[in-house]
Amino acid sequence: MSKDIENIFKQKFENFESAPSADLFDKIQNARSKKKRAIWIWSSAAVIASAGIIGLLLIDFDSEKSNNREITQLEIGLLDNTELNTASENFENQNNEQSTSNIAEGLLKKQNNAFDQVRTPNVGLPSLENEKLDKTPLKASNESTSPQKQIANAQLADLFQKIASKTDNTNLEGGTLYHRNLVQQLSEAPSIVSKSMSDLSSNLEVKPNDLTLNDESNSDEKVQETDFSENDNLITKEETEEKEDKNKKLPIHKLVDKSRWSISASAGLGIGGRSLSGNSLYLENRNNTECQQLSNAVDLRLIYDISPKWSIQFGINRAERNENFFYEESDKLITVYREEERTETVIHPVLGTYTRTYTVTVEEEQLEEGKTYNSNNVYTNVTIPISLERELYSNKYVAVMARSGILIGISSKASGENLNQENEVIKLNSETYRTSGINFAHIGIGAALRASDRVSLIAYPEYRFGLNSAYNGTIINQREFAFYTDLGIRIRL
Amino acid sequence: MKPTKQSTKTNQLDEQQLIEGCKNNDVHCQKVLYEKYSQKMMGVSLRYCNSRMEAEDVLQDAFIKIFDKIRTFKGTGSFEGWVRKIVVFTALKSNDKRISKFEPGDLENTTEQSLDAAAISNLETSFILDVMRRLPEGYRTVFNLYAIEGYSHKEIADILGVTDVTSRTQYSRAKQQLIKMLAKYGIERT
Repeated sequence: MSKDIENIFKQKFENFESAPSADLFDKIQNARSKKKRAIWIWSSAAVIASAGIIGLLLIDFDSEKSNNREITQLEIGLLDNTELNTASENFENQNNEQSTSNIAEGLLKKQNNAFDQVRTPNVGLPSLENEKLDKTPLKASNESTSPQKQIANAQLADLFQKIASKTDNTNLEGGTLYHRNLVQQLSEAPSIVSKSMSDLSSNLEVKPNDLTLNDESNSDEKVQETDFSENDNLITKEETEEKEDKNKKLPIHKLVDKSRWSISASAGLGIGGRSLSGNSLYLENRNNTECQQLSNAVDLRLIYDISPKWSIQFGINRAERNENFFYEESDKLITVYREEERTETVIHPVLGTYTRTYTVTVEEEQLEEGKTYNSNNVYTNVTIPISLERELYSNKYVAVMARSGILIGISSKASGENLNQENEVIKLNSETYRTSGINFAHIGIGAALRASDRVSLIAYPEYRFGLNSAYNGTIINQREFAFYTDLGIRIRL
Repeated sequence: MKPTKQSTKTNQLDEQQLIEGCKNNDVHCQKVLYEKYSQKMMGVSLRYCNSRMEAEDVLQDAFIKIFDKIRTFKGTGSFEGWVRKIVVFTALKSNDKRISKFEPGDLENTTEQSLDAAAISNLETSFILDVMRRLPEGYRTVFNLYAIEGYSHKEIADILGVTDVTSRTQYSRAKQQLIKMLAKYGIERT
């Protein structure tokens, strides 16, 4: 009865058919083309991003620094009376031409120290730009001063003016100043610089004596100051109004105590693959049985700004590359041996007829149906990334960065199955994987969007590739590669 | 077993040509191949899934896999068997978590019940399918693999990653429960 029921079920369902939805074939085709397109897009994006980043890293962006460049943010330290005194000494040591640019030069020399201590002013962005002032000593006279130095001089003077005039909103213990579009204006109008310096002295309430300037030795200066006042009068009303308008637009913030350190946490999906060495048949078998699937990575980093534009990063990274393994073995003939008990009847002339039982080993050939293997392979790597990051562009809200570096392996494992060179299915966890050493290099280009003073949201697509084989001590060279989209957050400490 | 429904296009191409065409990514051949096997494979998929929607998802994934992997078909066995195997494995994979709930059982505790075979054979297949869907996931899977696909308990044990004993127990219980349910729905016991 039991067998009957089984047969009935088998018979009933063997030819059971049901029509799927009419559009299922279209869905299948769409899914296949999407899959293919995704692989192409990821691969192309990885190649383009890699080429672009290499190109960008090779370009010396410093050489592009020009007078037209905007100062997006500048952080300066306090110039106390002592510093002003030193500045005035410089002032006295100059030639008889008592141009206020000499004062600025003295201040600039001191200010160089302050810039040496500049912390990345970035409020969340990885390394918002600090305008690098020309730190070479300025020449005494305006005539011999290069345009770039004049600009630096002008910047400094103007910044002091702004600090002094906006003391309510500026922390003079180390004021932070946002300054835009004034470079050209100041370089073209030295008289404004002079005005700035005189304003600076008065607004900071630094008496002439504090500057150790005596009336006798600096009589020319007085005359000069008078001249500047006259020059001020020469500035037309329109120019003054225009300047005021621009000044109103300057956002001046209180200084936030920031360090050079940031932390970043990101995670994302991606797609990977592996390049293989071996004979063409083996490669074909591997390629036909393995299909890449969505991978993922998590990244945690500590970032230290070594300069306004460059930072070094290190941390921990965990990446998981997934693939599907599907393999159907061919049917094969196998030889089996079994014990068989046989009975024979013996007719003996003396003993008569009797039955004898004996055991024989029978050899048989059987067709063994090939197995089907279907498993998900997971390659997991835990590494320490060490990277160098270069800021390519930044403004108040966004920054674009590129980074490249190495990944030092600390743990590596794999689970699942694949084919060995004998076309046998092997368990991946039985293989010896390379764990320590510089296993990967990575390259990426990212963007940061400022969310608050300290926090930025980051998107950092990255391509990583194996520098050596994933396997230890085998003749198969399997180098992993993957493209990940890291999305996360970066926090200025 | 010849397909019950064949389009005109199918008649113009024999199976070998279809396979070669699919290996060359010929969409026309893929469509013909799909038309040839989709209904039968939908029937297979329905036996492993809880709903029609789920079965269509499985069928879609299976055909994607078939078109992607058709180059690996060496032509040594039946192509339909190869296609069926992929559908079955895709369905099993989609039920992976539920299948992992298998627990070894005690074979001796199961008792055989009898049912009128003729009465079952008179039932509509769709009705039996509905009843089968009420079986626990693990029972149904083993029943499908053993009674309908014809796998041995050892093969089922390998496929599902369980022991032979578990497979036998699950099958025995599945059959008993199925008989009980069919009886409950109006089949008289003998």
